Amino acid sequence: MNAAYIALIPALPLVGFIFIGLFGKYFPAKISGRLGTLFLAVSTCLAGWEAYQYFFVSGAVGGTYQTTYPIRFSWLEFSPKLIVEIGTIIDPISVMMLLVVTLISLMVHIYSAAYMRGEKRYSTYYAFLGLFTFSMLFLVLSINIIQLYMGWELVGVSSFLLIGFYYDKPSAVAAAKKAFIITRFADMFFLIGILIVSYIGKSLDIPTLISNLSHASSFTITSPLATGFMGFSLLSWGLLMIFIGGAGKSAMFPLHVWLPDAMEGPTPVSALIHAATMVVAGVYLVARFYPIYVFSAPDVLKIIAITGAFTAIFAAIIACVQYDIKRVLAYSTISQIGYMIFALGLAGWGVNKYGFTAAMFHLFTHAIFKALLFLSAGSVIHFIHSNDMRDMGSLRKKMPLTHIVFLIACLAISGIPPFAGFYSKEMILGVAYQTNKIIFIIGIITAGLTAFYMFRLYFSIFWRDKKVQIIRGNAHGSASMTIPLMLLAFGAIGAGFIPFQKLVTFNGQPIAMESNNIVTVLAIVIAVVSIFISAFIYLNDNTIPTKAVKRLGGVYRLIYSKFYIDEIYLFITKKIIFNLVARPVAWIDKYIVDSSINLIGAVTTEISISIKTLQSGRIQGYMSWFLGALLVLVLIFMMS
Amino acid sequence: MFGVPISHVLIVSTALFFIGAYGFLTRTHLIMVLMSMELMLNSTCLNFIIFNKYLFPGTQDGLLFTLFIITIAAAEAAIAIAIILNLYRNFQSVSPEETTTLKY
Amino acid sequence: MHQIIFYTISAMLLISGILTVTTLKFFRAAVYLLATLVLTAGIYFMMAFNFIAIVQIVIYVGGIVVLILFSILLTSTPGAKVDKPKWKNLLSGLLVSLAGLFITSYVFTGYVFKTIKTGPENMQVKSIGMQLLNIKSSGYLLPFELITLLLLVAMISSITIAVGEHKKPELIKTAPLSDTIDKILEEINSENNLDKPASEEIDDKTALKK
Repeated sequence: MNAAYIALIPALPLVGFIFIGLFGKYFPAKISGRLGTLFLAVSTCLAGWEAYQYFFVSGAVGGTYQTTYPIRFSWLEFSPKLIVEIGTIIDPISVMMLLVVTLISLMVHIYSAAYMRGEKRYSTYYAFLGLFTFSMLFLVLSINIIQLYMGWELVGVSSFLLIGFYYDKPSAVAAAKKAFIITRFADMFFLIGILIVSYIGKSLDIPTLISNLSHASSFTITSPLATGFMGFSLLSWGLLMIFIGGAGKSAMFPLHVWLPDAMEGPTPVSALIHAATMVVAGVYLVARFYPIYVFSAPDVLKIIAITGAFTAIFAAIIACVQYDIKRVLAYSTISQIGYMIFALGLAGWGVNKYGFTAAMFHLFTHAIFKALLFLSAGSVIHFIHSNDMRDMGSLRKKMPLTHIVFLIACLAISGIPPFAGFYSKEMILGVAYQTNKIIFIIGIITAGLTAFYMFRLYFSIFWRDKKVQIIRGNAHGSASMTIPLMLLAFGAIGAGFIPFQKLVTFNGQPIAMESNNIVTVLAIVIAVVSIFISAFIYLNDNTIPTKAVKRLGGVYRLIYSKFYIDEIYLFITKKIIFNLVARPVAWIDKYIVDSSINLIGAVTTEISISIKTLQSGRIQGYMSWFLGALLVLVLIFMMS
Repeated sequence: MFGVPISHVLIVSTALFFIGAYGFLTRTHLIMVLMSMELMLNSTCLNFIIFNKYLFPGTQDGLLFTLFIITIAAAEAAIAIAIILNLYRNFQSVSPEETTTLKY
Repeated sequence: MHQIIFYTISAMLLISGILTVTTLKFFRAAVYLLATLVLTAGIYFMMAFNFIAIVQIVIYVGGIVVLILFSILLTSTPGAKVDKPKWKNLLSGLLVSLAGLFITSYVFTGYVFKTIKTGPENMQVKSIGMQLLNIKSSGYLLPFELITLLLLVAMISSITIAVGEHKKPELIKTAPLSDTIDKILEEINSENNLDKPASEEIDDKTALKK
């Protein structure tokens, strides 16, 4: 298999980024957009070809999908044992991610051509999109843990650049900083985790690490380090820290606060980065090290599952009361990523086959329908010029196409058959039912909440009677905005039929997964019931929501303020860290360190002033001192 | 030989040296200071000659050193006078008490 | 006989030395310095170092003292007096020089000197030249060369210092080059101290190489 074209998949967006970034100002903005889209289209075609080749032609040997390394060369050679390699890894999840990233990115590129028309920094925007796509593909194809970290940081940077795209808006700047700082904070743990894991695994190479750490003869079992700290072995701590890094990027519970604010960026960017690709990097990370987690640290997997489940329901509750449609979608994203994370973590209870496939399946379908949701929300925002769902209503006649695709996406995310989300979500819930009932119940409740808030959004935007002030006349922009919507809508309908059990599995071998009838029926019933409740409340403009708000009172306010997580962070940073740590440290620096230095300087100055008069410039004075000292020396010499 | 004990001759040269030192320390005109320096150099020459005469009779090393010292003294006097003239131009004074800008 | 002459010369030497450093008149100081140097040459004669005595008279008396006299004439009038030394300086000078004299005398009066090395009795001027330009052991060619270099440097530097910072920048900027050069030349000539040190040094050199 000639594999050089795989390198082109990430390389083309990079070329686009460099070319547009450097020379974008020399030709019309439109051309740079077309150019970026063209590069990415080629890249997408290559990725599609690669996926076809891998999954249906040459990837499986004897029914098992192989892990291969078509490109692999050593980049930094510190010593024969410490080599940083760069290359591409081809296995089911990386090929799937390649396809997802390039496909969604291409949709966003096409969509942005109309959405961002007339922006002053149009070509810069496309350059940044190219940078992001390159970084994400680089991350996905990483063969080495250092390469992975590089890609990881690059997506962080491009996410920062794109959130702060409207840099004259203070809120966008604040959001960009917030996202960057929080993910950097998590990345610090990631780096520590990398160091620990690569120290124990004696390699930086991901395949070598996996083979070193997931066999019975591996280092951890015999080592004294296995005892560890607080009941966890050192390796478990390292893996936990890697997960914290992933949690930062994937906006898991205590680190989720940046994602809703990141909606300050342009809507297509939210669709690309903060819904479909970058935020699932954490899921991808856990999936990449899945064998190590399963074999060496099932306890950590339990923590991962609990974090994911808690985040899923927590974000879903908040999503029910938000008014900004992009924020609703952001919390929905957090919630859905929580699903994927707990699906992966379920292996901690012993069943390790299905969770992986379920999580990857959900990642795939979620990418499609969430991108669709964001892009159609973008159309609505483009049309209405507002983010607030209270400004919207009865748009179904004015935007029929958007209405239909939004409905499809809502049905998909709510888990109504035969849309894509149903299959993946049902698979996750099935696994949870088999392994851990509590998480299963949380998942079911979250599924209900998801259906509720998605249809709340849907009815509020498209059905509720309200006079809408329309600023722009054209409801659907141009073809470049509608085509991606339609393509993604087909994806949201059809993606569920892809036989993921056969294609993307933990060890490459297809698994047989019988669906559990109880789970299926329960999931459908709760979704439909939630949709009807939502329709009952929000289909018409009535007083039920306000009554409910009054009834709930404090609880509502608590949820509406997102459980005061931001305020708690501010309290911790401003009141506790600034007052109790930073201020004393600053005081010590200012008054003790600085003044000791000043003391040294002052003493030196004083001594210098007092003795400098010896240097009088009078040669006779010098001479008398010289002769006198000479005589004293002679005397001393004589005495001794 | 010479009939005078070496210590007497040495006392003469030592006395000449410290007379020069005294002049160096007390004079208020740089040309006078220069003259005192010449006295000191002269006493050093004398010392070389004395030791050559008394301790190394028949050799010439002390003599040659004296020759060198005289040469250096000539060069030093020429430069010193050039410096003094320059000082006089810049300060309108040649007192070592007043030309004291080369300090802290 | 030798002793009488020696003690007489020594007494005159010390007295003229003391007068050199105590008199307040320039000319007298210079003349006393002259006397001191000539008397030192007398001691050299008594010790049978005729060559060095002649060099002393030629260079010191004929060169350096004349140079000093010239500079006195350039900076002050012949009968001018210098200021009296300050009490502080007088005190420190007396203290240091007397202490030095006593300490040094104490050092060498208690020491018994012995002849270390003897050479041939009949010394000739030729042998001085032979040893000065000898490159074998106990030859002095290297110091000789260094001294010649030093004299060259001294000559150049004394010219440079004496000419000094006389170039006026605004003159160079505004006036034509030839005017500036004329001006500088005029200044150099007006100083007329320039060629004297140089000529003296050339004298020194010829004297040395004799």
